[in-house]
Amino acid sequence: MTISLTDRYVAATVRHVPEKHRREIERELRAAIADDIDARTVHGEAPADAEYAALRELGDPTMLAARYTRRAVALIGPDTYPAYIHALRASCWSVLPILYVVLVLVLRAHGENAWTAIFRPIGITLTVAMYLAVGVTGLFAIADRRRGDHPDAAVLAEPWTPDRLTAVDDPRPARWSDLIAEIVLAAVLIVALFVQRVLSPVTTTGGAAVPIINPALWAFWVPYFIAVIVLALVVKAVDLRLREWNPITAAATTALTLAGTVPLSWLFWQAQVLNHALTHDTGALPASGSWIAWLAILVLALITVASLLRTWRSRNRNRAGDTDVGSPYAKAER
Amino acid sequence: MCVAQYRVSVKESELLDAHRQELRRGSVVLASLLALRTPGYGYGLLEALDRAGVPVAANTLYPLLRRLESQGLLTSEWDTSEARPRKFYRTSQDGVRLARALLREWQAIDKALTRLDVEGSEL
Repeated sequence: MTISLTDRYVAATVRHVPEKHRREIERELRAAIADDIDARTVHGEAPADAEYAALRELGDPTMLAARYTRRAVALIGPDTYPAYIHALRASCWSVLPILYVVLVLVLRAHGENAWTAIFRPIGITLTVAMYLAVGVTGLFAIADRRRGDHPDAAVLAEPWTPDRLTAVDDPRPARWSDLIAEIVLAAVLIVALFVQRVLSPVTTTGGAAVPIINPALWAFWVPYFIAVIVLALVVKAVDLRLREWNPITAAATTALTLAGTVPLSWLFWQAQVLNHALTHDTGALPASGSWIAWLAILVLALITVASLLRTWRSRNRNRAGDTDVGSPYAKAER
Repeated sequence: MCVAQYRVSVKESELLDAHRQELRRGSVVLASLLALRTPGYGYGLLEALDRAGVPVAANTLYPLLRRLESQGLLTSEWDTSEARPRKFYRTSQDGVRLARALLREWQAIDKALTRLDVEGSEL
């Protein structure tokens, strides 16, 4: 027995349909195709031509199956897209410039000439950009699928009201997409910590990779910082869940910010963060209190101030809401 | 010159097709619910709708029938008395009620558009 075009078409369609509906859809589809072929042969078409025309009219079996199952034919639907773009942009803008600058400084400190120091990190930065894009897209595709499985999701989410508008000079209230961006950021950072031990832009004359971070820090400080990062993400998630400004999460955020930046500044001051083996000569790298330490501490201080301002300014917004119910700031946080 | 004009008209007809499709999309549900008050099967309904002036693509109609059934607007039954077993659909009580409501909506739109058209031509 030969396999007809119809057999192949039906098989190609039901392959993408859940098991329990397969038999029924197959039977129904076969009857419909046979009816169409009959109608065409009555009008004088040859049976083979009629079958061909009938199947062509039904179109791509994958699309037909998607219509049967009402499966999404987009990776990221319109409901998730704005948050996706936001997270993608936020993670790229924060990770990539820092990565590039750090790599340039490391290569320069290692004694590479200026052109090598400027151009070689571009490749690594592009590779990381690709991984970032894939990671963020994957996370959002999963989120979009899960949303699609729960048709009530759109109803459960709070409807938009003009109260959600923020004043132009006001920091935007935190959203779940911020959290996803921060999780991606933290994951990249933690993975980078491990990867730099085996893959480094700097190698010894023997060809072995020279870790960028001081290997002695793995005894205590690296696990400590990873724990701080993870705890900070947990606190952020709780804070988002609570929706309103909460003194306990604000205090926890403050404590974790300081627990991260203060020891890190001290380690930079002691010249313990970067691996001294990165450079052959006794330059700025091994000296405590060098320009590298000053630069790092300046950046860390800025990050600390920005984080604390963000955490505690939300409280003022809520306070304003207590006295003035009509204030748009008050409801924006809720 | 002639070629340019031809291109414009092709573009216009594409635009018309796109908008017409958009306009007709929702009417297929209503037409199916109305037609299936007397039981019918997939291909038969396709032809009936075509004859009635509501042409619809087969690959749109067949999945739609299953969806309306899962929403309780159609009921179905396999007829195995003929040589070719066919799945017959019939509009349920809920489906009839919904069809009436949709039909009222359709007529309201028709009236509103007619009114707008008349007002517009008077200007």
